[in-house]
Amino acid sequence: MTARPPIIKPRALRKGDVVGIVAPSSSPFEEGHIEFTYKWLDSLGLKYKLGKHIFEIYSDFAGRDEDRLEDFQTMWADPEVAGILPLRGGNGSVRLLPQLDFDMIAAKPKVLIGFSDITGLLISIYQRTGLVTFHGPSAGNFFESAYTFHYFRKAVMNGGKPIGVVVDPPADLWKPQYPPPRLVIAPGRAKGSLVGGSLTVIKQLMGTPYEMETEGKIVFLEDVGEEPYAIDSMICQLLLAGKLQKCAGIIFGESVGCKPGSSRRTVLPLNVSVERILKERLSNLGVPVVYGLRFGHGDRKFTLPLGVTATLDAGKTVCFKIEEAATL
Amino acid sequence: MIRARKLKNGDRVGLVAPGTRPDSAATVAFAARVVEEMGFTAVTGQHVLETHGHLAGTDQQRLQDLNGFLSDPAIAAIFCISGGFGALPLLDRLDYDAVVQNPKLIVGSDENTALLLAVHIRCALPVVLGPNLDRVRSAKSFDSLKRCVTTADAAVFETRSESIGEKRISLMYSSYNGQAAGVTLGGHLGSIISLMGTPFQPDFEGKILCLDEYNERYDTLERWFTNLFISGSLAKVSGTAFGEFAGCGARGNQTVLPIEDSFGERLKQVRKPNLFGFGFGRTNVSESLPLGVPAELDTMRGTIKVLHGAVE
Repeated sequence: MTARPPIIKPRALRKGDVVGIVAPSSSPFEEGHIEFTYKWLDSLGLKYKLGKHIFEIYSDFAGRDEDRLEDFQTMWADPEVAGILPLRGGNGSVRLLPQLDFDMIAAKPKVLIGFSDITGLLISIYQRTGLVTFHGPSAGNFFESAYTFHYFRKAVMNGGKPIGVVVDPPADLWKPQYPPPRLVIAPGRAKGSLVGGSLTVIKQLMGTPYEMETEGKIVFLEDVGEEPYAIDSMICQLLLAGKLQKCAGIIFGESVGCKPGSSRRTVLPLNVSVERILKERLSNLGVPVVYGLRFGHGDRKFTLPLGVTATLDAGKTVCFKIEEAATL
Repeated sequence: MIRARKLKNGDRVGLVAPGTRPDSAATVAFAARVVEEMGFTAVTGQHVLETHGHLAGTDQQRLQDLNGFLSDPAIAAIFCISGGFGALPLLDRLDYDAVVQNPKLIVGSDENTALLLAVHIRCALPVVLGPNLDRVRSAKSFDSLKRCVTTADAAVFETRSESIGEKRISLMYSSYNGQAAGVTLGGHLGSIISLMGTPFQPDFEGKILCLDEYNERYDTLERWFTNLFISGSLAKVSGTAFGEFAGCGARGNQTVLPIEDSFGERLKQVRKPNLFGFGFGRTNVSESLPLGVPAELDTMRGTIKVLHGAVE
């Protein structure tokens, strides 16, 4: 394994800071979506700058690679900008990696927060520079629920305090959502720094210089709109590559739209649930595995910082604690 | 390099389902008849109709069928009945030593690409990217598959064309013309990406990369093709040939460019000869292509010339 740089933590965002809104992956669905974002940024006391190209469309990207890269790097290099908020994921972040100026990024540590396709930036920047990056809501949806908003603030606007014990969103007693947030696939205790993100993007990074490193880490995984057999395939690849046998623990997220028949993929007449796949593939690794925590593509998501120490205790109850501060 | 022996009348062919269970018992019966019609004797794996979720039995059961045939000297070749996910978790427990000791032809496509490439990579044995037997639904597919397993001769694969009255107008497209020579490597794109970062990751150096897919979203295909670029694989290949991408398209009503544009742009950028429009893949008329054999891609003529078949 390549020697990795020491961990760098960004300064927490605070009132009066300027954040940079960019679109390194796909463009916002509609420009109007951003109006809501402006309002919520105001309420947090944050000012914002917009990337030059965020409304451009080329294929399913927010403009050409050069344009998305220029926006991302210009914003990152801007001394006035304290945090980078991609508008959304989609597709396209991995295309930027060969041209990304990791030295510049390391020299100007700041908050980067997003999920889904942004995983390509979160993992590569964390591994290349040591900078703690944040798997949490994109600028386009950090206001989607009180829960998401709460953890966004706790993670990046909390004056350098740790996130601490992660608590589930309040359950609706009469219509609980499957999966339950803390289904124990394999019991046990783990301590390690966090790494992970979208399973599809993690697959996209396999065999590249940005492949996710997992040894001794608590790995968090999630996806959206994939049939269980596709999830099975991606987990089998990680196992074949030895990525899960030496990790400290695994947290598999809620993964909305991954119930049999709920994706837009070919639905098989015979099927199986994600829960069964996780039990079959991951219950005998000798590390704790928990399924259902609310992060990723659901409306209620907590924020996970890559590169900080957390503990997972999975027994009769599950305690997941992000014990180390993620920001300065 | 080792080669499997070419099949002759009466040879025993093992039928397996390494991944998703065949559609039904009727599909398995059909698959056996296709093989018999080619003049071979079909030996159906014990577990092909088991169910374990969508899979044709547990990993152990599917492995037992495969390894049973691989180590049986009376079995001359192994054909896949159906595709779908499921070969991947078997790769680290396949009996590769048996293949080296007793080389036999392996035929399949779709996600069985993982099986084909693992055997090819571990044993330096050419394999056949040919329709899973449940897809052999035309004289074209039948004849192409039979030819591929019964002759070692060179063969020329042409891109498809449209017949308009008396005229035949080619459907081929290239974003960067040229000639390329190399050993064929390829199959189902998503399955090739499933091997990246694993001990079965293919060596792309000097290869003619032959890609197909089925029912996949354009944005996902672009993602996988980007993996090939970022991992340095595209820089290594000598040329790229594209087969069928049946059922592929945009996700919902999303804006996204078709692969001829997105892949084509990337290949133009890296200056690699490429050609779209070949007939291997997963439709009722798919052709069979030997993998692991020397070949020449000519984008002006619209052909892949395979200099030697997969068999001896």
